[in-house]
Amino acid sequence: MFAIGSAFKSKTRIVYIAGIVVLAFCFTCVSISLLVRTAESARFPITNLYESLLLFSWGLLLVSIVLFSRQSLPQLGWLTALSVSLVFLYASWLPPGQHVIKPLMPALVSYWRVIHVPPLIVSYAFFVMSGLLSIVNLWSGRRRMTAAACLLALLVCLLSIYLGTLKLADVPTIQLGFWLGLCISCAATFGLFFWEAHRPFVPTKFSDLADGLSQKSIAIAFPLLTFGIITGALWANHAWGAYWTWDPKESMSLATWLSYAAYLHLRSRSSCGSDTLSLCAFLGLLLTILTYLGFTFLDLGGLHTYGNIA
Amino acid sequence: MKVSFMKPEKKEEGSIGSFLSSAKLTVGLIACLVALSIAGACLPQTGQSDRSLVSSLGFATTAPIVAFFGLHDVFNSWTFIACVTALFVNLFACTVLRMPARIRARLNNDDFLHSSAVASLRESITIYSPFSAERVLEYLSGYMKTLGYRAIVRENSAIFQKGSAGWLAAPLTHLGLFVLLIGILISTLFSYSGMLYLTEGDKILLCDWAKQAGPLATVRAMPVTLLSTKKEVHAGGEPKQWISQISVVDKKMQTRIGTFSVNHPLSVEGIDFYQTDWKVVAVTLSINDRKVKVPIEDGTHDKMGTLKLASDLVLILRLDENAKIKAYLKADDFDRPRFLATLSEGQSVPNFPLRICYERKHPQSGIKFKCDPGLGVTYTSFFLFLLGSLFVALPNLRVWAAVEPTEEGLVKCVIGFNGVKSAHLMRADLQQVKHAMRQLVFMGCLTDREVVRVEH
Repeated sequence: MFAIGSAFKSKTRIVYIAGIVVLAFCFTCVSISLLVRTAESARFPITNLYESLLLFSWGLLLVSIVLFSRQSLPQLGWLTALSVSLVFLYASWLPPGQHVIKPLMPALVSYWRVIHVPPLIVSYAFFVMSGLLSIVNLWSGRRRMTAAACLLALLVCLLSIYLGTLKLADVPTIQLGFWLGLCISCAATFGLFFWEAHRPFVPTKFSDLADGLSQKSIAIAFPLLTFGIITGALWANHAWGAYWTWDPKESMSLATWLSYAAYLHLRSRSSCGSDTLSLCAFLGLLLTILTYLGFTFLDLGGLHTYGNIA
Repeated sequence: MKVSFMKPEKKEEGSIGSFLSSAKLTVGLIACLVALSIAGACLPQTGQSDRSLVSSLGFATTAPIVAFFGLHDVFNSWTFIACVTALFVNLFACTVLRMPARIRARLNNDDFLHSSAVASLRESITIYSPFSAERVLEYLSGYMKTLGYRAIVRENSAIFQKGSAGWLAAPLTHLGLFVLLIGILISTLFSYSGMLYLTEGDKILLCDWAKQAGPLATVRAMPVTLLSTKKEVHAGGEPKQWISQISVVDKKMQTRIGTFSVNHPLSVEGIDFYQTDWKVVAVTLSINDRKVKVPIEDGTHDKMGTLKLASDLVLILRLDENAKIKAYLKADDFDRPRFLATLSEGQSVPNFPLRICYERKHPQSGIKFKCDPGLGVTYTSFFLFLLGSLFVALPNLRVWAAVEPTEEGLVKCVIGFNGVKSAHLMRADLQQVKHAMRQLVFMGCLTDREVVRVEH
């Protein structure tokens, strides 16, 4: 509806309102489904990938509600709708065992689960949205080749997730394809970024909007990620007697945290342009996807394998 | 009133201090750490030689590179340690060389800028007005206040601030990193830990089991006895909780009994006990009233135990999740093991010449113990990180303004801001200021409209 609204110049208001109503309805439905699952399982539903995807889609919808204003929702609502649809599609592909409510294993029976996981999942939602907004910013600011290369890298990630989830290839093949594809697309992104750098970045009203929202998303998500990592460390110390063990998931979350710390450092530099920040936010998006879903399709193991597909 | 003006940021090209404290170096080092963390997460780690790592990757030619950069054990490699050390040097240089001046300026609000310095900021607008410098600043201050800014005016300069705590993000996070370093140092020097694998009734001295002890750590000779251990299961048989009960003798030589389970550690005089593992390591069978203890080992798929009943007869036991035994008999003339029975504790194999009874299981409790005096300091650093990251989300808008008379007899007012954080907000505010100044011009307060111009 948002896309249809953008395609026509007149009478778009009604279409936009309909789109917003659908998004609001979707948010209500996801909230209710989370509540129902909570009541049914007698615990907060974040024990496997399916449940975390429900919370993730709820987070994506929350981003639109928290960040997008009356002006920006019609312009960028399609981004939310698209990403939430993809998440739902992915959740529906998961094996039936993921949809079933199962008893918790001893390590997960703790109040820390409710404190540690939701902030992380919601922060991922904000980071994903900020990454997508940064691609929009690059596209509308005449960095179209770079934006296209970013989309290619994103496509490599999505394809690997698809192949890994449906087990359409063996793990080493997926790993090889993923890293090769990601290296090539990232090299292309950087190459094209520097190639396009000779032309000045031309911020438009739309790109300014996307850039501002991307920055806001990161500003909200960064404390959430920090909180999630810290509470994870506290839980690990509570359960295993070590707050940091360089578990693959811990290392990846540290990499994600560091990438956004670099973003914040770049943001404080007056000489850094909006396009550089967008590129940094996009790299953060790749790391976020790798941290959140990478362990499912790349099968990296470690202590955080609760979300893996059996 | 004396006003100290902040000079435009010094750019000492080639100065080691400015390089070491630069944000550029920070970003570069963070990028290296990100790359190493990804390698650490995605490549097989620890205990593997570079050869086995390479064979698992399938690239034999990468072996020397992997070994040189220590990618088979990233977090103990020289590359990672060098990057972390360089980051702390950068952090220290930044904290010593740059931060005090900035903190002082923010606390005293005395980092006023000359008009030329304001004009050289990231974004600025210049307004020429026929009014007096005081009136321009007064009008500007009044207008910025309506936009929610706090105005600090000194002579011909002004600073406008919105959000008073946002600037604390960097100092708090940097402080957190230093505190973390201290915490890790204390832990490295004074902490000790170890793993205990005990079956019921086992008694040990803690000092004999401390495998990881700091050079200044004093490990207590605390006697620990495992009194009991059990596994709770869900209705479907899935493990729910592992619980152990121990008795320890404290400093006053009094015996204290405590229970702990997964996620519920026990703390005794600064030493924490954690339930980390639980498994059945042996079962006791009675064979024709003779008790035999059969060790159970982890097989490829199951936990298995074997007992030789005769020279050509072997009893095979398969243990399931609920500690039930499936008994099989294997003889030389059998083509495959024959299933006898599934037994719970206290049950016997029916219709069998030998009276084989499953008496009891022998669970082993995996207990981690730890004494870490640096933990409190580390947790303080976590709190500082959290506080610092929270302040990142807060607005930190700062706009400078300066007025000076021109040769044309007008007053030049330069308004500008630095940094990218909240730039779009400040840019919007600046547009409003520009508009308001124009309004002031066109509201009839002006005598000669031709000379008034607004530059952006």
